[in-house]
Amino acid sequence: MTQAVNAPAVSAERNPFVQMQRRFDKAADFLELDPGLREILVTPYQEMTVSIPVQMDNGSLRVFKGYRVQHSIARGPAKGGIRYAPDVNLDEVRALAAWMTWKCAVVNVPFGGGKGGVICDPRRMSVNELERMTRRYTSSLLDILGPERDVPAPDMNTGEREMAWLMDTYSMHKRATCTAIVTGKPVGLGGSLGRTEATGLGVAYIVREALAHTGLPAKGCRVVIQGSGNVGGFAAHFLQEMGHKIIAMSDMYGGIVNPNGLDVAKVRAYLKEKGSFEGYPEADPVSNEEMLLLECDVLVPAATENQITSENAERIHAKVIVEGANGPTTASADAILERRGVFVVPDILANAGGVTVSYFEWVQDRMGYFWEKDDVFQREERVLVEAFASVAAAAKKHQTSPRIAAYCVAVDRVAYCLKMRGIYA
Amino acid sequence: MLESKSANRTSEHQAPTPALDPDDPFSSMMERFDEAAALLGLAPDNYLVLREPDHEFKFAIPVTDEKGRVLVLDGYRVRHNLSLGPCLGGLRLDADLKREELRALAAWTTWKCAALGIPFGGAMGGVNFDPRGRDPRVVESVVRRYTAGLMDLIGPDRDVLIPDLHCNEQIMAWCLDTYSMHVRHTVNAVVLGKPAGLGGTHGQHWAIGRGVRVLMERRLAEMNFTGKARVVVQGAGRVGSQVLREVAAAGHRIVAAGDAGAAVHNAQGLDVDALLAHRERSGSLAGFAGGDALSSSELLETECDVLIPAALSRQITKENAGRLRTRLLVEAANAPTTKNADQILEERGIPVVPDLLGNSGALIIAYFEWVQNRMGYNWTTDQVDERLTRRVLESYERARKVAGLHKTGLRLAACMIGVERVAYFDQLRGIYA
Repeated sequence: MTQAVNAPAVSAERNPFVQMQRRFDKAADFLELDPGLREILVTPYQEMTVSIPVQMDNGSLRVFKGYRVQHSIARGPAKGGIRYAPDVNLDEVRALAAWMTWKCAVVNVPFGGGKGGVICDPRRMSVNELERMTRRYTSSLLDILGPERDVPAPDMNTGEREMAWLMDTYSMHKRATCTAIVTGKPVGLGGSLGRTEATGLGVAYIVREALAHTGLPAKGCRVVIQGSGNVGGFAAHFLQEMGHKIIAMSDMYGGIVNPNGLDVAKVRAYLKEKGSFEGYPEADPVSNEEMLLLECDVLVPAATENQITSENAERIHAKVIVEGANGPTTASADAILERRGVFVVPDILANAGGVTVSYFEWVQDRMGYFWEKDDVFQREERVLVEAFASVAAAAKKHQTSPRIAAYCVAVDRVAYCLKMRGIYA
Repeated sequence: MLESKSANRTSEHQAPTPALDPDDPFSSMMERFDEAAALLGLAPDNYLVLREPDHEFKFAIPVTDEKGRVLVLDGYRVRHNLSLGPCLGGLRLDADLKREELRALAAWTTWKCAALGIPFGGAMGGVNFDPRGRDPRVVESVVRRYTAGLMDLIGPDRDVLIPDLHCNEQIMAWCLDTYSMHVRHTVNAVVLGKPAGLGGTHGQHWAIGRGVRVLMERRLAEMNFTGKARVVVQGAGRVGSQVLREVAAAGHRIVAAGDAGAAVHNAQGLDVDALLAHRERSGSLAGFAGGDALSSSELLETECDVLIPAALSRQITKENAGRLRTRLLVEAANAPTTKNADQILEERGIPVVPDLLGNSGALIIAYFEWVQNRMGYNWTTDQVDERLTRRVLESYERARKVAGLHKTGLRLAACMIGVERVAYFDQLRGIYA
């Protein structure tokens, strides 16, 4: 049996745990954090590893390995996604759980951080097998999940369908329907309106705040968006609505560029129909690497991690970078961008619109009353505007980059709660 | 805190352990499982589930140390199998606690409970912390926070803790108290190995000795050996002292005994009470006047009818197995005999009562404590004695039968009974969800 507890051999610059840790350390130094608190904050609160036996469609039995890590519960229930992938490992899950702690704290929602995963290849599993696996995984974690304890959400290769199974399994065990156990559910089953758009919309709000903060015009900026999925696609839509010019977009295979601006609605319709950008008439092709170097005002990496590294950071032209994806910039690239005066809004703030509306979903489930989409959007805007302001203030106070400032805000909030609560027993 | 009497007893709470390869304890434990599974012709599906622990839980234990600094320790609980009942397993406080080892011990406890017909699955847990020489308040914090961290997993019907390395009655009492405070009423069945007034049972201090003695007499009878035996015991700690007292009280002659420090010999029979009183006073058997001094290698090679290793693992090896001068070997310690030595003993025709049966009194008495706690009514000493003896002998008879059927040694046979039982009931219950 494979025991994938160690991180795969990736360079330190690309290892998520190392990346997170470096930034945490910097922030902790700025805050002159007490060594005891520091040790508590780098140690996950609890980690569960479970065996998941699943009857496969051909009658055979397979035993999958699943994890759930709760990094911190100092500010409230743990919150974070569940991913299904062949390369899931405990180290990565730990790093992502810690990341969630900081993200929730930056936007000041009352959650700690968690993350889960199952080592499996969902593309080679039938829907029935995935359902059985999800249900058994959920029941194995029953003791540590709960609306007041740990609230999962979708992540890589999981979505509304899996969240509905999870909610059902939990509810059957509890003998009562419990929608607040998980977020990212279908609307009508306790899901929130506006959740689908939430991350992309949040990115747009943050771009607006960043432009105002750096003195750039509120309209007519040239924007490059790497990605076109749930984050990049909606960000493009809302930014165009705000009056900006989206000059490039991409998917995992490559992108398109038009210096005069793309018609976002048309591009997205084309992508939906054809499955790729290939042959799109009103633009030129561009690779995912080249598009990062385009002449523009705002760059939104909204695809995947480790895109802006020590190798290309010198050649990036954008004045503002807003990280729609998780971890698109490495810590080494941070230093280069900072020296060059690029204003980088870090992932834990820039894409926190998603977790903010997850929080709203949990709130609505708890009260059993659901908000209109406009209510959701307005509340999301308020949360993100406030979060941006506190990060900007911390950057000014500590004379540091928005990224380290965001970590300062987050670590300070979590450390405060830990200190006030004290050490039990 | 752990000095005084309990300190001696504490350090000898050993886990129910097969001989584990320190570099890869889980795999080496699984070798025996594989052997048993192959002989049983176990279905591959059953096999997969039993090879993996059901749950592995790790959590942070922040405590304030003697100097007011915060340190964050690692707490663990591994639950191997839940198909026969609640999990049962040790709590060990050990600075170099290994996750792999906990995994192996949890699985081993599963087979052992099943082989003895005790309705538990196996578990194991602990903290990477050595309580010896630490401020009792720090130890108490560690134990309480560990217990609090396990509130979601443990319980009389879910997972029950027994003392293991560096644990004593005080530590188990703190576990009990923390659990009880959380559930808002006293629950004594969540922790076993408790002091008498807190739900402990009769037999706590003689169960292992009784089991060893009863098995020894049964095996000798089968060999047509009548009368009183000449017995050598290695070990005089928690297990060894029980064995010495029990065997001597039954009228057998203890011709030699030893502990980590020294060994003594007296062909006429040692005065066990005087010997143990001497050890209590001086901390060792060295200088005991009632016999001649021996080296520890001479001890094992002393001529006798029954040799009982009751101390450490890996004592009888391929080096000395050829020189033993005994008719019978009864293992009270965990894994005192190596695999190579086993083979030599078999060739020499020296029968072995394996540890799984030899020290079964420890798990059986834990089970009895749990039963009495659940009903809230205590058995008399006689009842405990009668029930314990019966269960030890029944387990032995079952293993004899399986050994005959499969033409294997008693050691493998006992393990096979455990594995088969768990596999059978796992299959009967099926896969949930």
